[in-house]
Amino acid sequence: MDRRAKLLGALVFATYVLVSFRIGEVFPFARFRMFSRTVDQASRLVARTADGRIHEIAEFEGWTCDAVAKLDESCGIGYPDAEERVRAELKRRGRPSTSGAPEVVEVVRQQFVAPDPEGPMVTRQCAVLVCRAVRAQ
Amino acid sequence: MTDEPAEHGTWFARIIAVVVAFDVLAMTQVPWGLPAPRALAGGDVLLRLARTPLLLFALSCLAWAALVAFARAPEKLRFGVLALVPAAILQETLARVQGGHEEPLFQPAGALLGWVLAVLLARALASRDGRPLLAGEERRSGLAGATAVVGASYFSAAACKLLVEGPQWALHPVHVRAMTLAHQPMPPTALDQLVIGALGQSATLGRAAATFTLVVELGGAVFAVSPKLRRVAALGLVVWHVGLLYMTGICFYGGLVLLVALGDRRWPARFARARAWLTAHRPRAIAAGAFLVGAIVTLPYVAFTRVTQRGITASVVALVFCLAAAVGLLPVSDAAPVEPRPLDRRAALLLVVALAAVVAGLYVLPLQPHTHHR
Repeated sequence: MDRRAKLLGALVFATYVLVSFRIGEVFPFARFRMFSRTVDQASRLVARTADGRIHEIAEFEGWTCDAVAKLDESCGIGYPDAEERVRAELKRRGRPSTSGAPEVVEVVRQQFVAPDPEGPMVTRQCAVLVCRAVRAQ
Repeated sequence: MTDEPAEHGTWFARIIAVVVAFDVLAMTQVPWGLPAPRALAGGDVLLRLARTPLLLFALSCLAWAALVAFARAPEKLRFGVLALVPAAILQETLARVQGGHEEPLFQPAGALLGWVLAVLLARALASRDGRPLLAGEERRSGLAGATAVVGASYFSAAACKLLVEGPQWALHPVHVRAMTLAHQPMPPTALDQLVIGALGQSATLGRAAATFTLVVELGGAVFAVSPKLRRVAALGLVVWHVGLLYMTGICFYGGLVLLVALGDRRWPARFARARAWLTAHRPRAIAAGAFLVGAIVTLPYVAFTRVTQRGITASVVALVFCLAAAVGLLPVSDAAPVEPRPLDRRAALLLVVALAAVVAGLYVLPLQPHTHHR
C-alpha cells in the first residue's frame, strides 16, 4: 500500500464520513446511528403459552386476536422495527390455520429494567393481547 | 502501488459486486413484501413504483447487469454508477414502504461508491501530474476507496455514539444489556442462558461490551491507511459481528463479508493456492459443488423451517460466504488492459448527476425517519 493509495483511501474515507453526517441516510451514504442513544430499559413483544413459557411470535400461525391496535398503547414502547415485524406477523398470520388445534396464546411485552443500574437486569411481563394461535409445524 | 498484483483488484471487485447483487435481491422484496403492494395507499412516486412489480424487477435486472459488467471490467466506472442508481431507487422505495431505511444494505453499495470515487480521484491526480493512469493502478485505487468506505461505515457508527452521548456511551451500565436482552432469540438455549444471562446480570460485562463496541468501531479509521492495523481492526469487527449475531440475531451480513474479504487482502493468493490444489486433484467442479451443497442445504432451511431471526441471518451469511468463495475460486485473467486511460469525463458527469439526483431526492421525497432509532 503506497502513499498514493493511502491518500486516496483517506480522501474517500473523509468524503464518505463528511457527506453522511451532512445529508444523513441517502443511499449509499449513512451514519449508522442505530443504538447511538443510550436507554435505561428496553422491551419486546413475545408469545406466552398457557404453561407460562415464552416464545417468538413467529413460532405460531393462524393468529386471532381481540384488537391488534392495542399493541400501540401497551406497557411502553419497544424497538420500532421489531414492533413492526410483530404487528405484520400478527396480521399476516390472521388467516385460520389448518395445521393444528388453536391454543390460547398471550402476546406479552417483556420489559428489561435495572432497578439498580449497577445490579442485575430484571424482567417484567405485561399482557397485551389474548389470542388464539396454532403452533407452527 | 506495487505490493499487490493488478488482477487482485478485479478479484475484490467481484466480491463487492456479489454482495451488492445479493442486496439488490434483498431489496426486490418490495413487490411481494409487507404490506401487499395493492394495499399501499397514496400517490407519491415511490408508492406508485412499489405497486409496479414489473418496473421494480426491471430496475433489479438493470442493477444486476451493471454489476456483472463492473465485475468483469471494474475500471469502467459507468457500470458501477449504473448499478448504484437503480439500487438507490430500490432502497428508497423499500424505505417508503417499510417506513425506514435498511442500513445493513448501505455498506456494500457504499464500498462500490468508494471504488468509483477513488478511481475518479486517481484519474484526476494523474491528469494533474500529466501522466496516464494504468488499468492496474485504477483497480488498486478502487480497492483503496472501497476499503476506506467499509472502515468509514464503522467509524461513522462510533462517531454518532460519541456525538450523541459522548464517551459515557461506553460506560453506560444498562444500555447494551437492555438492548441485548430485548433482542435475544426466544426461547433461550442453555448456552444463551449462560452467556446472555451473565451479561444481563453484570453491569461490568455490560460496560465491557459497550467499550469493545466503541473501540472496534473506531478502528474503522485505520482501514484506509495501514494494512497491518486494518487486519487487527477487521478481526475485532468480525468478532463483534459474530457476537452480535449470536446474542441478538442482528447482522450486517454484507459488512461482515466485506470485512473478511477486504480486511486481509491475502485472500486472492490463498484462493490461487486452493485453485491450484483443486486443479491438480479434481476439476473446478469441486468448488462449484461446494457452493451448490451450501445453497441446497441453506435455502430450504430458510424457506421451509420455522427458524429464528438468528438462524435466518446465519443462513444468509453462510450463503453469501459460499457464493463469495465460489467467486473467489474463479480464475482471474492476468491480461489486464494496460493502455493509458485519460480522465473519464462522461463517467464523472454521470456520477455527479446521479449523486445530485439522490441528494435532491432527500429534500423532495417524503421519506420517513429511520425506524431503528430510539
